[in-house]
Amino acid sequence: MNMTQFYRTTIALSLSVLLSACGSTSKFNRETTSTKSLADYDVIYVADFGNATTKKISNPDKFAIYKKSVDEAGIGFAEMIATNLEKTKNPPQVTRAAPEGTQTVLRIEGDITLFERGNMMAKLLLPFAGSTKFNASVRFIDQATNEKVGNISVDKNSNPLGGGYAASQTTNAFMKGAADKIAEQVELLRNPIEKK
Amino acid sequence: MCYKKNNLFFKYLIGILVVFLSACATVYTAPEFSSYQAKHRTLAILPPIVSINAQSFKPGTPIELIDRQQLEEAQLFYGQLYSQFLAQQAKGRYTIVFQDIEETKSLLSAKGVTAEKMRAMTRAQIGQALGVDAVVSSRIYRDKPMSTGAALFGLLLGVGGITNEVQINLSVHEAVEGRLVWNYDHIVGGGVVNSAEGMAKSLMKSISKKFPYEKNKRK
Repeated sequence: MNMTQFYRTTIALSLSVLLSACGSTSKFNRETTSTKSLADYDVIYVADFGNATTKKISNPDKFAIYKKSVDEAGIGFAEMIATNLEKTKNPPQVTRAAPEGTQTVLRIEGDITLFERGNMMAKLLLPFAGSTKFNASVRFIDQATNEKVGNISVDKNSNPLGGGYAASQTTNAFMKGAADKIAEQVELLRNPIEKK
Repeated sequence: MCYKKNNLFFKYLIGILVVFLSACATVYTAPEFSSYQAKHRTLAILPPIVSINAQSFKPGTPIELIDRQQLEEAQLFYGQLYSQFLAQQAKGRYTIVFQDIEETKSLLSAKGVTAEKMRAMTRAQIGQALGVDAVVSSRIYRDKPMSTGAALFGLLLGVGGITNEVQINLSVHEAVEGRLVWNYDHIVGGGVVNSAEGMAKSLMKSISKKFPYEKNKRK
């Protein structure tokens, strides 16, 4: 292998890692026992996400700050999902509070299971250091019966190679990306493409 | 031949880098916006919700202090947002007028609509309570992913870093059914020379210029 081929291979491999190693938002996993379709619902109620992180922080001051940031992220993530749902084709009525009435309501709820802000300087300078991580489980529940309709898993992490791109990947950017994907999938399931 | 190939390869690389580095605002406009625009006369601006990543503060900072700062910044941004809209309105740029924010605050207070209660209300209910055709609501998220000291150290090493990150998400909902008619979403990162307040102000200026109720856009 000559030097030109070596450089090209290295750049191609780096680009592949850069583009693929940032985690993902899963597809909608339908609950096998559920017969409901997302198209059945007139209203979608997006509840605040809970804090199910298990990070152990012995310093109570640091823990209070961490808990506050995750709690706020739980509200922010729900807001992002709600706004993105409103932008979809044939949008449902979207609410952030449990609606009253007789409409069929789908509740989107979930938990943040991993929230690592990371260290931007470490990410900038070193590979595999100071990673930012955001994981969440998203559940789709029939509000009337509490029956689980499906779920989506969010598993995002900053690029392990580090550098400027990894440094720009923040928890907020991850939440925004995941909220976009969740809304996209809901739109697709509510508006299936008709076969010609 | 070899030069041409390399030139193409580098152009491709530059193209990829440009995609990564350019962060554009995401603007959504409802397909039926022009029909809403024709009907809308008065818009109310709701107080923004400011959320600051608590991890931007030093450990030991009382949570109440963080909450207070969020409220203070929300008041500051509320005034700035209204001023930016008024400046464009004064130029005759919009087809609508904005309800005075003091009147909005007074009406919300008179009807017992607190920030907490507002979350449980639809935008249509809020708009009807305020007697307007549409409501503007916004959420500003602030973070300080890197301390100024670390950023300056990074500069000495020849690498830059984001010391401030501001995301603004602003929506306009019509007040009959509460449908989203316009949304602006943008995350910007700033270095050591950019203050979060300055970045938020420039974002608000950008919003007021991109606001869809423009006279020349009316069909």
